[in-house]
Amino acid sequence: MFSETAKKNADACRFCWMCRHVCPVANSTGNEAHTPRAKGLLTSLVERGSDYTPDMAEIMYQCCLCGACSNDCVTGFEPPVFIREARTHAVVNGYVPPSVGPLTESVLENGNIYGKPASEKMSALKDVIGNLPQRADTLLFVGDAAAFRSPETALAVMGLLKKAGANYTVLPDEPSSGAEIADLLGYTEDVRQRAFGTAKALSDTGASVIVTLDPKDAEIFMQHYPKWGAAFSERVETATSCIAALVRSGKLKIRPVQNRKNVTYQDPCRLARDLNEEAPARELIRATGMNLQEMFLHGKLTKCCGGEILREYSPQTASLIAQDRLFDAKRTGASAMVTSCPGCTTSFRKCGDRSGELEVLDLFCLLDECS
Amino acid sequence: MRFVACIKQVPQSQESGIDSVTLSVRREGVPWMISPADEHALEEALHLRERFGGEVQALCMGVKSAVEMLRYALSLGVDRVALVSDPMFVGSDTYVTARVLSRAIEKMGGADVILCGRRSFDGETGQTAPQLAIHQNMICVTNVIRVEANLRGSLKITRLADEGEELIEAEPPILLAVCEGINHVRLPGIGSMRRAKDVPVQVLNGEILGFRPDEVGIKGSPTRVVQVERVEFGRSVRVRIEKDARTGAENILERVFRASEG
Amino acid sequence: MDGRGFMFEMVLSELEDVVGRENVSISDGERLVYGVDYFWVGRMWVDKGRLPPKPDYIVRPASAQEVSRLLKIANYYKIPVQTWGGGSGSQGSALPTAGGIVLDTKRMNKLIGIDEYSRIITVETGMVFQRMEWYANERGYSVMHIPSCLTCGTVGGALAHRGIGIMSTKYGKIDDQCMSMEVVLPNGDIINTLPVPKHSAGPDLNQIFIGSEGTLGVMTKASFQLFDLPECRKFRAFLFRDMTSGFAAGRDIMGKIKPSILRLYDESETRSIIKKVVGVEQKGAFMNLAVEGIEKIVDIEMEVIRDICRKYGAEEMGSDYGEKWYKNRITFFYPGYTLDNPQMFGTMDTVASYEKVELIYWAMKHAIEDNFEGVRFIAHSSHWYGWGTMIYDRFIMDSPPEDPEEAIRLHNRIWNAGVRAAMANGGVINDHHGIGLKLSRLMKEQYGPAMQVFEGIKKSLDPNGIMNPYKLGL
Repeated sequence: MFSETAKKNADACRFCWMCRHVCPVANSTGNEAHTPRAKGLLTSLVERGSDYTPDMAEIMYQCCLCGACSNDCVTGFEPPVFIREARTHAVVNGYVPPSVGPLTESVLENGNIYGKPASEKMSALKDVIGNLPQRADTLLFVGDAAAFRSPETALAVMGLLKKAGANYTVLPDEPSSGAEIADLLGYTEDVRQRAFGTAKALSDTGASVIVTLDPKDAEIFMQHYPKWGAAFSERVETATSCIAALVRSGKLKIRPVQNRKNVTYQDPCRLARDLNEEAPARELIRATGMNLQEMFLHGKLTKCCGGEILREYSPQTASLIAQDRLFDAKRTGASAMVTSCPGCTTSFRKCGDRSGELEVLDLFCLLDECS
Repeated sequence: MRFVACIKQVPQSQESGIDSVTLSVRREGVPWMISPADEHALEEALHLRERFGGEVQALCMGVKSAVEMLRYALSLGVDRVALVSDPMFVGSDTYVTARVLSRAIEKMGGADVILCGRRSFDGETGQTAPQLAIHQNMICVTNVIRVEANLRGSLKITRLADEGEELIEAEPPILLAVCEGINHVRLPGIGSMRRAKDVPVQVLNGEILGFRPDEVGIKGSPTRVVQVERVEFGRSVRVRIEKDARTGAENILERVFRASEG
Repeated sequence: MDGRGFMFEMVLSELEDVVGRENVSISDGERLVYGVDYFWVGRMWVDKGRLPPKPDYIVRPASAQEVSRLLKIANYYKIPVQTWGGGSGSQGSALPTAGGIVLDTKRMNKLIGIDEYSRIITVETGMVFQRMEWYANERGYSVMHIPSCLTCGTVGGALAHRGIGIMSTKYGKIDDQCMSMEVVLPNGDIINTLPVPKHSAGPDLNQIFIGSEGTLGVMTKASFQLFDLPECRKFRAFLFRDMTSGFAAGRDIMGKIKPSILRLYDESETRSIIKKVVGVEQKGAFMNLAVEGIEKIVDIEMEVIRDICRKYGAEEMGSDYGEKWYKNRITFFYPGYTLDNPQMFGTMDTVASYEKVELIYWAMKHAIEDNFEGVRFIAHSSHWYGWGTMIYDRFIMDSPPEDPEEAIRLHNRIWNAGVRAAMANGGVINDHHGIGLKLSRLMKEQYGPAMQVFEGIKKSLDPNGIMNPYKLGL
């Protein structure tokens, strides 16, 4: 049932525990079945004749696909490979857990996980988009998470691009990148076919650079679209990278804040681990004059916020994960945590600190205020 | 139109080893993959079905465990699959393989277009496809990198030649041996995976295909592997550091011209 | 617990009442997960497609109070309770071989506090050990307990089997490092041992529960010593002509200094290591060590060590090997490097006085290699004391019997042979992996009449015998 690559990874992971300490889900729920190795063990048992059952499928969805396990593995094995395939088989067999079902249906029909029609995606941004040209050098790809849950972060990036005098535009009917479908269903032809449509929409703008707000979108554009044959523009850049470059070149001027704070920075899991990016956001924080105090585990060792998707169907688990990370942030003595990913921004605002001791600051909103 | 794709299951690594007794590639119990060029042949068959309508069949001659690969083919949207497998086929050379495949194709109802990879990942002879075309009495076009439909309903085929590309117009029945770069392979889709669950894998053995043991396998093969050896290419390397790229390039060119002269 | 009839549901309701519905699992998928730990037999079993032992219920309490209520229920219905931390034990101690309840401690994973002035850290025992170490590192300290299961085992697990880390020679074993703990007794009473260990108020309560492998109660909180991170750590390697001179040098070193790391390899292991170090095969016994602390002192200690090693005719091999080994020490436990199916293997660690240790090594080596075809034996000594050292000896069989049942029988015969050879020559049946299921049958042989002390405690604390049956010989 599983591919050779998935089998190889599952057979390696099934008896190994070495990455247990970094799995955000398993460490929050305390459930052995949520560890990467448990998922490997179940996969290996299915390959050896056990039935693939709905409760195994349920376990496979208790994962935020943050890659902490793959990052930790010294010998290069990757649990997300068999976890994603297990999800594909869950969908094929109709074993998707009841809490996840509405999301998989929504994502196949609308492209987004929120059950909203695709036409509503850019509604919070349509006024600003209305004033943008149809074609431009730079295309800002907002992504589902920001569009539906934190449009102010997208508006902030747009504000920064405008202030920098960038020739940019945003798609008024922005399709989904497919990152959410890929997480829920695995890498199937359904994702690939949608990728062709998205790639065309991106190319039609004539842009030579696509700037993505959500690291998830950057990852799928950069690391999957090309090998699927869904080609589009020359370059994909993350928003953090792009804005940092504008500041460095002097095109965007950042004023230091009036009241300096001690802040800490949450590296988005996919940005740090999949895209190897850590420096630009830190440059930007320093430009605002805030005093950056790193969490003990940062950079590639960052901890996931719980993630946009897991939060929708397992809000309690996602909340525990976010709280654990906020505890890390509070121990630095910082009064605020800066986030640079729409998923993180919403996760920490929604699920996080009830005591009000720690402020959650979106990096782009912060920069927009400082420029 | 009836499209038949011949796909071979090969070991993932070229290091998986040669059996010292039979001098053939070890296949059982090693991680497998579809021979890359065959994967693209299969994709092209599916692509052509989308253009012309019809049916795609995937055919594999191999060990019993190759069923897994054929199930994968079904998950891509292939209509029918068959495994040609029998202990008597073990050790068949390309000529016999082609003969067996040909008979299997007949058994499955014949083909208008047969697609193969231009050569396999493990054997790399590139012979089976043209031999199959002969058995099927079809035109054979090798090293295909593009297939387009002509206004007149025939196929416009681009193939790689020694010095560029050749354009060929032809009509089925035809066999195309394709290159890896011809297309991007698709992934299994939820819909095709669901439909695939109910499709059986037909197994065609020697008896069903009407072969005698002495006609196939090592005994029936006009050629046989005598020796397998690893060839090490030795090369002496010299490193020269030049003051700039232009000077360096000119020096290298000078050496190349001198070497080619005598 | 027979799962048939509605009694299963009645008990389930009581368990859900304690921890909440979402913290009790009965699904088949989850039960399968708890049937395999690091015990070779269990892994081989599922590798061959057989099903592992399954619990009836898995509960995940969040506090000692919840554990207390759970144990009271288990006692009432006489349902076995197996405590599961990381499930990374090699002896099968956590496996639900008696069915019943698996109590997964990992929801009890909070940091209780760090008393920096006293250098004490307190955590809940379900915390993965590495996470406690990280909390300490953040403030410039370390617990200095660095086993290979650091990233997978829990604090409770380390205590339950009396674990050891690579730097124990200087910083002690877990039983030296643990200050105090909170335990829930089988009858549900929550007790605390005294706040500090070195008192004169009766026997050491900590030491009754440390190493008890879940047979006497459930540990829920524990405090540990913290150490300042050392100013420096310096490595050195030596090649001795043979193990005898290596042991003698080690013994002399331990009379004067406490290296943090001291590892002496036998001739078979030396052959494979030495090739990597110097590029050729050389006979002898390889020694890798590290000294750490204040640099001035470390340099003096290193000189003393070099003198001793020279006295025993050792060749100096520099510091590269040691540094590389330390950096990559964990690589050996990842898939691709680690021993794995289809091989059969086991670590028959034992510990003894200097007088006995070399004798034991040879006795075990002969017991294995002479009597079992296709099995090889390699060893090193990695944890040293003033009075003796341990042997980390492994047997490896590249092609065990295909039939799982035959494989288990052979596996147990090999273990009996090796461990009995150790016992016969003054060694003990295990140094730091624990007893679990694997060596349970040999406990009585080891202790003789002393076993009644454990049996007495067990009977008194756990009269219904529900806590981890079949394990530890109890």
